[in-house]
Amino acid sequence: MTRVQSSPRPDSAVVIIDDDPSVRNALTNLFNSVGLNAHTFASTQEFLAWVIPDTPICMVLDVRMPGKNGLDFQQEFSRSHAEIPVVFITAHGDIPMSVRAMKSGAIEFLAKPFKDQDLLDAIYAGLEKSQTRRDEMAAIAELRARHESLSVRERQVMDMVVKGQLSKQIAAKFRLSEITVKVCRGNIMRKMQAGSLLELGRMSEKLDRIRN
Amino acid sequence: MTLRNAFGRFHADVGTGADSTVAIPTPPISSRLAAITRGGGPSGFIRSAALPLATAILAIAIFIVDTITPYEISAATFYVVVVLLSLRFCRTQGVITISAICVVLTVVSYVLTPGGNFETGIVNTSISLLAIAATTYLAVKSESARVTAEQAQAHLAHVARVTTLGEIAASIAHEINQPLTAIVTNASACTRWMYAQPPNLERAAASMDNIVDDANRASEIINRVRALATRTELKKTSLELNVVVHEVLALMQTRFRENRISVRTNLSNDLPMIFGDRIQLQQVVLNLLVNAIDALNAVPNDGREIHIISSKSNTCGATITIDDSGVGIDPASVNHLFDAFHSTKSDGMGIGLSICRSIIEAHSGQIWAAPNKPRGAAFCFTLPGDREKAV
Repeated sequence: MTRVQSSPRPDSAVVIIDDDPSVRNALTNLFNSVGLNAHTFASTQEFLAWVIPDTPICMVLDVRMPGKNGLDFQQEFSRSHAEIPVVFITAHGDIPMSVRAMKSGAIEFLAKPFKDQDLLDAIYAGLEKSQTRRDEMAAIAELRARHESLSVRERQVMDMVVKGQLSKQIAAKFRLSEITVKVCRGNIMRKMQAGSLLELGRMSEKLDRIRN
Repeated sequence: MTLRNAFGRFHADVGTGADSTVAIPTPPISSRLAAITRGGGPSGFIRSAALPLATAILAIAIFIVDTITPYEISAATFYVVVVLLSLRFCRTQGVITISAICVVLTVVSYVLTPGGNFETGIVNTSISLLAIAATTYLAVKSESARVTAEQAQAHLAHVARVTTLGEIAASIAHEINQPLTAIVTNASACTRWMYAQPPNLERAAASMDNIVDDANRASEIINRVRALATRTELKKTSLELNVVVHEVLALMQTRFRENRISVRTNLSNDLPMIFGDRIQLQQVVLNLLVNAIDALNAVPNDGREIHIISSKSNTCGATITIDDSGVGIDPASVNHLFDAFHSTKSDGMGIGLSICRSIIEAHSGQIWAAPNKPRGAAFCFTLPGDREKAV
């Protein structure tokens, strides 16, 4: 019962969307008993009206619900909110249903009634994934901000540097003195917080990938 | 809500399903039904032999007339009637054989005819032969179309019943699963609250309260299902069980023929009247006969026989016994035969006998099964007489 878990951040939350009030209550009770916050919604519409807090979140979603079906909702929702992984629960799942759910990136597909530990394991995995994804997104945002702090000339010089051009060649291309290019390179390394040319190269690659 | 819909459909289906099986008969079947119910006598064998015998006599009569009259009189054309009659008791193969015999008889008559214009004879005989051939062709075609239609209808009725049952099962599973999930989850949470350091007894107690509520909800759902299941309105009338048996037998003729099963009836003439729902009781007899056919199909071909007996029960009611020489009953499952979802057939749903039992119980009757000697199974049900019911 008391299996050791990689404990999630205390501000982590579980979102429960299920049309059955007793299932919602029971799940909230279970999550609270392991120290997790839970927010419950009777429908996906109700959830969409909610302001999603800026914390790691994992969603528990019932497949069969009035209005939009859980699978359709997840497929749409995961496109805009990849940082909120989904755990499906259903009272009568079949194989095609579970295949579809897993293909569109669900963490787990559990048949009701499920073992509490199976659900909690899935939730912990989901919260970890949510945290990782949020860290990644934060890193990307940071990188972008650093890149945007560069002047136009600095960005041009950075593009040449990562292509392996020497200061002399860059100076010739932009009709600058070599010393100006070297100062410019120093500024780039400082503003981008790059420890080496190799690191700067990686950052540039990442930025290219985001832009595409 | 979905459960209710499914049930509504199920009831409609049970009603119309039985109705439609009754309404299915194409003209040959209903005329057969009329003939059988009118006959009412105990022996089904004589009745089934009467028509072939009459047909044979007619064929011989035509042959004699055709032979002794001169060539100008074309009595052979009347073999068409023989072919049409054979359609009533034969399958395609038999009809073709009989028409071939008619052709031979026509030719023999032609050779044996003593006098008349020889050329007219050739023309008349050719016309007769063509008429026989054309009639046979059309008869065989319509027979095969009828058989296909009957099979399709039977299949459809079965599919409709199975799909609705499947739907109901899924709805019930879903409805019951919700409180069950809540119970399991609350119980796990309760354990966690109790084992927490320090234990949170308040939350643990609250979890227990939730469990009680959820369990009550589950039992409410079960009560609702039961209420829905018993809400079927019985249209009870005073009826004779022998007639119910005959009606079902008429419907099943094709299946018996297809499975090469002979049915022997031994119906008592002094059966008391029963107060019951005709369609539901038909359903019981139908289910028992379908089971008997399935049991017979599971054993080798020889001696495939179903025996239907009706008798006065010792409680002034009526008893129907349907026995077969099929696979028989597995002693291990004898106590669960009438339980829902218990089936010994690979493709069975385990619904048929449980439906039989609920219908018979709704009629204050009893149903049971026993091994048949030397092999097979016997299913019996007994219903109280009408007078008893009226008191």
